[in-house]
Amino acid sequence: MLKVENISAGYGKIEVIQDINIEVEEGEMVALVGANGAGKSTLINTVSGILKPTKGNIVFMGENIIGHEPHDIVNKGLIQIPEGRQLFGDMTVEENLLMGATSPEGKKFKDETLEYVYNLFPRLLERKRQISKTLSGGEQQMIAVGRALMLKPKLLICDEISLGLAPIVVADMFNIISGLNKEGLTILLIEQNVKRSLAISKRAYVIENGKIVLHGLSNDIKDDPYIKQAYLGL
Amino acid sequence: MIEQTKQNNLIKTLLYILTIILVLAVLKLPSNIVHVLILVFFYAYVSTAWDILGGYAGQMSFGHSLFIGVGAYTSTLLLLRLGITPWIGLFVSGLIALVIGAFMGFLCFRSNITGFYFALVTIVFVEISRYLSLGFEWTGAAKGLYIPYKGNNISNLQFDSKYMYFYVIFAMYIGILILYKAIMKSKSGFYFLAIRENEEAAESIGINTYKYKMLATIISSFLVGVAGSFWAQYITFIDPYTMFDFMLSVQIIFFAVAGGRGTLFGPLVGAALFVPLSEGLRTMMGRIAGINILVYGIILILILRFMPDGIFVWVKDRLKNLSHGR
Repeated sequence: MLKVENISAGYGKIEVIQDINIEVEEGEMVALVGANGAGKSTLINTVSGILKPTKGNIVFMGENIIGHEPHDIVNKGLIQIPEGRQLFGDMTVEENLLMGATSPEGKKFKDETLEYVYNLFPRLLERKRQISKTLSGGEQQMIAVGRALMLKPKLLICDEISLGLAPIVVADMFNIISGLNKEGLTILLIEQNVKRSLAISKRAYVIENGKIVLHGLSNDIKDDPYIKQAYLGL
Repeated sequence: MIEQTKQNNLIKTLLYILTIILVLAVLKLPSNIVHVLILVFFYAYVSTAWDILGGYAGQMSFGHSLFIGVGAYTSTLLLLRLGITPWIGLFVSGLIALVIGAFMGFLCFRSNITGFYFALVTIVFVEISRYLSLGFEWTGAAKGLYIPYKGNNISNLQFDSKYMYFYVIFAMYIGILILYKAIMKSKSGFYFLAIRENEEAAESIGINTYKYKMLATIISSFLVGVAGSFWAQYITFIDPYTMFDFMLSVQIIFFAVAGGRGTLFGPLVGAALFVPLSEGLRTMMGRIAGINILVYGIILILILRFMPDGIFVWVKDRLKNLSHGR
């Protein structure tokens, strides 16, 4: 579904990521893990068209999307939940969700998806008239996930959705994501929370200093001695 | 809820009655008061137009006097050099302002210049335009341009009494209100709001932020360009220093921010309170140069401190609390 081939990108003259290769098959949940500053966000911004790569190809659903504008890529069904939630703080919960239904695909299924999202997060239904910035961090993250679902994603990229949440909320969030995947949604998980993301994903890539240093089945990576020592603290 | 609609209907009826009284009273009012009213509605119009870009779409332009100047110069030059009626000039002015606005928007938004940097670019555009208009004999250079009086004639957009000018600008203001309201309700208005609230989020849900920022810019610049032509017709004399004036840009922002940014009536409230104040200060304390600017500054600081959303929103909130018995 998504194929990132030999992508290099960066800011100005500084190359942050080099020769990255990543593949996500339909229906899969793939994790991309790495520490702060490893290049995860740079890679994701390149995939969603915000950043222009210096070389390489990105193929989504059989089409090269290099050079496409971000809104164009969103309309193709490659949706990103941006890091730090990025809600429309002064709008209500429901308004935020409805803002998601702007893509052609999202518009078509607006009412159905809204109901689906409220089923997924009953909490949001209770608070649909509340101004979104007054909600708790976990609830705000639910809005961000819901808003992305309103766009009817084919591939959902979750950028650090556990960031700044209480441990119990993190567990909930990962359960939800895992559930979405079981329903057939393809997901690319970008995470610092290595342990949890390895636990729920099928395959994983480990990124360090802008390069993929390891990839394979999440189960194998979990047991890799280097990963154990460097990321899991075992 | 029913109380709320009742109250809204009451306010609406009051507004209509006030409008009718105003429109009729203008015929009997002394001309210096009509002059102040013209100023009020001129600024209310221009601030509302600014607000589409600055208040609603959140792109702070500090250079809207650019479009007033462009509008004023376009229609005046068309009239003086080619003999074209200001009614056509009005429209052409809007178009030229739109083209310049689009160029400015293209330069900034294509390369992601927003916020403070966008504000700086808009200021630079005003400065450049002033020096350009100073540099050519054809545009009147530093002497400016004078529109000769050709008699009370609607086709020249020239009248011997002030109240006709009032009706023209009043009609323009009503027009812009209707347009503003339509934008607020439209899909584009929703997108403008999304861009103002959080541009990154807007981008992530597939809004073409470049396109909608451009749209806000060209609507705003067109409308202000038209107002510039009217302004030239009314004061019959234009020169680079009064048209491409940084303080004029600041005033436009001031009325919108003081009244209520991103609200329908905010700019009118701002203009209705502060234009008479500034005119009054100028006549009463004219010997102390710049006193009105000093008072403006103090009031602006107070408003930003105590009513950061503007007077209109502040009053509306008080009224709402009152009706809820709090």
